[in-house]
Amino acid sequence: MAAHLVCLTNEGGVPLFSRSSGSTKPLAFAEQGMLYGVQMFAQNYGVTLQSTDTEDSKVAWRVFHDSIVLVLVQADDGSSHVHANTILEHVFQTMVMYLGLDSLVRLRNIERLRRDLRVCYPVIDSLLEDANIFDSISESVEVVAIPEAASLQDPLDSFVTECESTFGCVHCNGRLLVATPKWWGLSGQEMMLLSRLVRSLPKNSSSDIPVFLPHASPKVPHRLISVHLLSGLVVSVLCLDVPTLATVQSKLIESHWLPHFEMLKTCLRAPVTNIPKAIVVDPGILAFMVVNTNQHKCIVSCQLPIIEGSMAERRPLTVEKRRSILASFYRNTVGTIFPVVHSPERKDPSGERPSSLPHSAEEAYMNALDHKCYSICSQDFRLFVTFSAAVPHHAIRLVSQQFLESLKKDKIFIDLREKKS
Amino acid sequence: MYGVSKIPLLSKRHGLRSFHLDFDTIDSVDNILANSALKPVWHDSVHKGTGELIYVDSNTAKEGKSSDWIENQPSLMRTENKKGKKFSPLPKRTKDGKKNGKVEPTGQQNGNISCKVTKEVVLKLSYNTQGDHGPLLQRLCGIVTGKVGVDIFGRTLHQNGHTNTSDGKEDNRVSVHALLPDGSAITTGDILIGDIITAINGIPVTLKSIDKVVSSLSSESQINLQLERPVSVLPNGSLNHRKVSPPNGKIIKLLTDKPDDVNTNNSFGDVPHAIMYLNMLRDSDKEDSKEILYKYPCKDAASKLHVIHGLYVTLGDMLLNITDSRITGTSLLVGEELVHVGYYKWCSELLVVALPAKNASQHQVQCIAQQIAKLMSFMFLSLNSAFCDEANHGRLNHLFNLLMFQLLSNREKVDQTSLGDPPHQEDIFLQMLPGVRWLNLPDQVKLDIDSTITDFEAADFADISVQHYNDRRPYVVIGSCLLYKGYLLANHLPTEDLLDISLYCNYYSLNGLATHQAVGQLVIWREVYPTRRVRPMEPPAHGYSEPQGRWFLLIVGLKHSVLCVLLEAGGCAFPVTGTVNPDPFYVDQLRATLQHLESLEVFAACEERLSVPPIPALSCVDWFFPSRKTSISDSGQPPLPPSASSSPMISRLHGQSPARGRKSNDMRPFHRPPSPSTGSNASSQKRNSVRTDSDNESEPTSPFPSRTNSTQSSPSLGKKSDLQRRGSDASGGSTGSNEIYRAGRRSRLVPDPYNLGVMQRVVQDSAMDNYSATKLTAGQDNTLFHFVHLDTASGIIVCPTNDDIRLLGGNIHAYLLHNFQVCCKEVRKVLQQYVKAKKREEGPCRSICRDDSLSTVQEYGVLFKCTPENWSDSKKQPPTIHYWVVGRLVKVASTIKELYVCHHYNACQNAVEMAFKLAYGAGL
Repeated sequence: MAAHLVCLTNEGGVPLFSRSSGSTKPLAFAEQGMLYGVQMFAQNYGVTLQSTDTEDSKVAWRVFHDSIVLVLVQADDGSSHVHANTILEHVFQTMVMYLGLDSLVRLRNIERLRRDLRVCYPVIDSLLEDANIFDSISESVEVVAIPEAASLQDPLDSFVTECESTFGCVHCNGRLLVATPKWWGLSGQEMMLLSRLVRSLPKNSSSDIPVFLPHASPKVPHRLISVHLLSGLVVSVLCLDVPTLATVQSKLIESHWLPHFEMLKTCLRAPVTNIPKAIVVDPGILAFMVVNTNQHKCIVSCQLPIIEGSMAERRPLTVEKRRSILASFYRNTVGTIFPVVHSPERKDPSGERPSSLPHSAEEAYMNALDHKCYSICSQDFRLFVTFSAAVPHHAIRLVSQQFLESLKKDKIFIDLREKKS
Repeated sequence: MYGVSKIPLLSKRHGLRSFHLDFDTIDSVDNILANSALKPVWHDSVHKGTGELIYVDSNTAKEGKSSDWIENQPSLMRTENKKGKKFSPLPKRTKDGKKNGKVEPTGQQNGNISCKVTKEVVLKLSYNTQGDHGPLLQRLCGIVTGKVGVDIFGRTLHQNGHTNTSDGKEDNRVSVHALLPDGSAITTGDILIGDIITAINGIPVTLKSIDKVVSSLSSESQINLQLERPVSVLPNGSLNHRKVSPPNGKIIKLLTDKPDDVNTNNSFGDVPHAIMYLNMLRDSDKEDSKEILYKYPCKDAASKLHVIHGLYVTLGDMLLNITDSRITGTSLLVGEELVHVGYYKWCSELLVVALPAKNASQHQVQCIAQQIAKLMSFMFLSLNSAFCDEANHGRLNHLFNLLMFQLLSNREKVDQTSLGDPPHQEDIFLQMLPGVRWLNLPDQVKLDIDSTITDFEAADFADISVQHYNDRRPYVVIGSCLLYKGYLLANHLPTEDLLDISLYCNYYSLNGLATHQAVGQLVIWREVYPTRRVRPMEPPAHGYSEPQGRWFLLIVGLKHSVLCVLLEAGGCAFPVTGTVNPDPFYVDQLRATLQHLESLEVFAACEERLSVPPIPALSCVDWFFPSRKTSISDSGQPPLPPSASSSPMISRLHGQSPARGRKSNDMRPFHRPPSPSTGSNASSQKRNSVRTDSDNESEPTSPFPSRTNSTQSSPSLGKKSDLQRRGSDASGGSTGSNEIYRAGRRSRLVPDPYNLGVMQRVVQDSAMDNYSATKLTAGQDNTLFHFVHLDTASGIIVCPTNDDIRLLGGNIHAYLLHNFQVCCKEVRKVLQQYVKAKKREEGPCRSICRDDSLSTVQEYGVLFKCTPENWSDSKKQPPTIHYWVVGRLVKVASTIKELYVCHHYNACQNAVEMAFKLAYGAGL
């Protein structure tokens, strides 16, 4: 999906950066200026320009804290504008995460800001690209669902305590494997952005980055110490002054993680399908995504194996196709018929449609020529499934419901957050 | 005016077909001469420059006048308030003879204060000798009087009536209960039912004294009635005309406004809305080049939406460069209010429509912009010629006044829903569909209509006949379509033309006009540019090209029916030049056709059709809720005595209510409310009615005993009586159930192919020919709540009529329908991607391509949960019902049909199957 993102200062319209994804040429300077200009023009008349549709694309404008303007041009898939707003929100919070809110609200040295913002590019680019968008559109963190993860909880807790912190986690291939209760208590957006930050780190390295938590501490930076234990397996801890990265690397890592080396390897070898072993997946299911909107966790799998002789085998869809179908299905249902679940901290106009529906939608399906989709929206859980077109229509509802019931019972959705008193 | 002058009106041709017999009186030479020699009533309304005509005469109902009354009310009240004389705030005081000038609240409980306005009306007396019975006033001026508080429907009209009776004193005031059609009172239009007559010629009257007073005055030629009308006043002092407000008074007023002097009598000043036509080519060389070619509303130039017109142009320009696709919509926050803007780009110009988000969603605004563009090119050939010509602006203002009235007056209704009233039934979804609602009629009626219209279209009878005068006829009738209360009865037009015309009727509120009120006479004439001719979609067939000429739209309405005709001048008809005024001859012919149709009782058949229970059978969602309070009381007594039933709905549907008459008298299989509480109904019905064998098969254990094919299938008694009653009907045996297509054997309804039992029964009872193809849903119970079927090939929408919905009633059902419509908009948006994707295949590659992941979706369903509103019992969980809203595209040959259904979730339905049943059942 092609997209352009332009970031400018609200006062003066100085371009800070512009990113493009997909196979499009970047926007010309004049075009960036015009995207800013129309918005400014409207602002001068007391009108806020929110979004504009064309036949094939849509454009969203947002001004953050009267200082930063973000414009997103992206391909239209018929979905509600709330999803474009979500991406803009994520982009801004990424900038906050790296630079802190203060330096974005009070712009002093534009040249320097422009230079500083370069560190955000990897995360921002990952937000714009197609490959892993489910955590960003659902504002939740993607988790690895393997039972072995639980056995890493104790080592992690002791390691984090040793670091004089309470926030720590282990990522496996960019997805959250295990985390401390405090970490789970972060907002979905924060967990998601931190996951993306960790994913963007160079392989097999250790790093010590100052990060601002967009909601918890947007003005006071913490140190995020990340150490690659294995290739793709990263332990991260949020701490203040101590310990230094050197201390962590030399003293703490080995003592805490070497005993669990085998376990870590097992986790790393966990199948890409990302389904708990105990759950039987219907052979007709091609891809699915389940979100716990309360705990901000999601499990996504677009690479379910096609079982030989199953109905799904007759018309296989590529992984990319499954992913784009599932994402489009999500965006076309949430915000139009299902309500949007935001991080509570987020304040921007959400989808207009669900509020105009007097009755609440609980399930939805789409039957297409080459696939079938089904979604269930319950209290805390949302399930979105893509089936093979060969699965009969009357079966998909039952299969989806049973699938969701079995997923709900999985250990991964045990609420590990500290009880708020 | 050559239409008349060109045709010498000689004697009528002999040997006209049967229907011309009916024209004897209407079509006679004298009559036409009389009509043409004298100017027709609408003559003065013809627009001088263009020959365009919009003439509405609402003389049958006088709603227009009553709206005048309403507009006068505020001032009336104020003056009376000052004088403190005629004003009597409380009826009690009036009776006691204490006059009080102060406005006193009487009905505080709703936050509404009810007050009254008074008015004096002078009536001419016409002594009606025919009826020597009845009160004198009724004979003198056609006013049927009675006691206040109870009108003839047994409904309490005024809250004040209660106050009095609770005091134990009798209310002696005289209230107008009815107006006789031939009386002088109805012609003034100033007297409404419910008015209270306080005095005649200054003499105060009561129920007892009125006859004496009137008889003493009967020698005089006219009397002076003093009337009083209760009006509720909102706390803020603004008048609330809930009871009296005629829905159409305003429409008629808007419609009949002289296009030229329409300036901006637009009452939505505070609502952000705008329609603009902008020039996107900003030529810096020319200083005088205008950027805004047209804007509406033109009054408040300071409106923000107008000021930022540069924004729309820049956006359109810029985004075309960046994304290589045309701009369609924008969302803006004006102050606090979200406003959606829809665009239509035409060459270098841009049509902009802005509406608040409360009234229209983004998608809807875009649809409106496209529809306006289409309508403009239908009316004015192109957008440019419509908006650039200053002379048109008056007419455009007129049109947009009507449009905004339709769109923005919903705003109040939106607010009302928050108060707990069931939402108003607006066809927000249907208006976006390219199609006309269709009313299915019995074959015989269809035949009558078609032959009558065809006879008119053929134009081979005397006076228009070519051979007769050796002269080319002035117009060729391309086709016509007949609408009744907004429903299409017959269409002899190509689909595109039909869609054009229906769009015109929609935007000019003609459908709404004809639905709510009988129109005395409606004549519309204008030159049009049908889309099919001006912008042909398909290449012309080899060796044949459509004749070039000019086209005219003539619409004549009579009472509830509207006949639209597309005329062609040029081609094989006489070519015309210059301004073409409406042709009185054709207007008369159209009216005569309508009158003939009326004489054939076509419209009576329509009314009949509208009053029968909906078929395919529909269920009301309220029935599915177990043991609500009303139904408990219901189950206590059999609903059969028409008066005793506290739920008129059920008894009506069971065919026992006199209001429903014979039509529902167990003549057709239809759905029985499948609520458990109606179990007693079922048993009582068993006792009371002759049932067919199939009844024995209905399982008593089923919680929903309804089995459409088994319940109330025609008892032989009913059928016999029906046959006797309709003995004169020529079509004989099969007419026993011929009122409705679905029940007839001749209709192409298919029986449920998966239910062999039904098939066998059909074979056995083929004489009964009442089998259950009327049920759309599969499964034992009828779970269908609503459906909309759009056939894009014929431009026809089949869906339950408003009367059906009214018949079903149900508080929750109203919410369900509202929900259905909102949801269908979303569903259709997704489904349209399929249609669009097909078109786009050959398009050029763009820099930003659309995400086509969902472009193969053919079916989209959503499961909703609904609970009763205002659930008072906080201890118990409110009962819930789940229902599906499903949209489905069905490809038939090269055309695509769209089906939207709403049904209970308990039975898994196959949308394709339903579409199939519906399409074939409708006999399209």
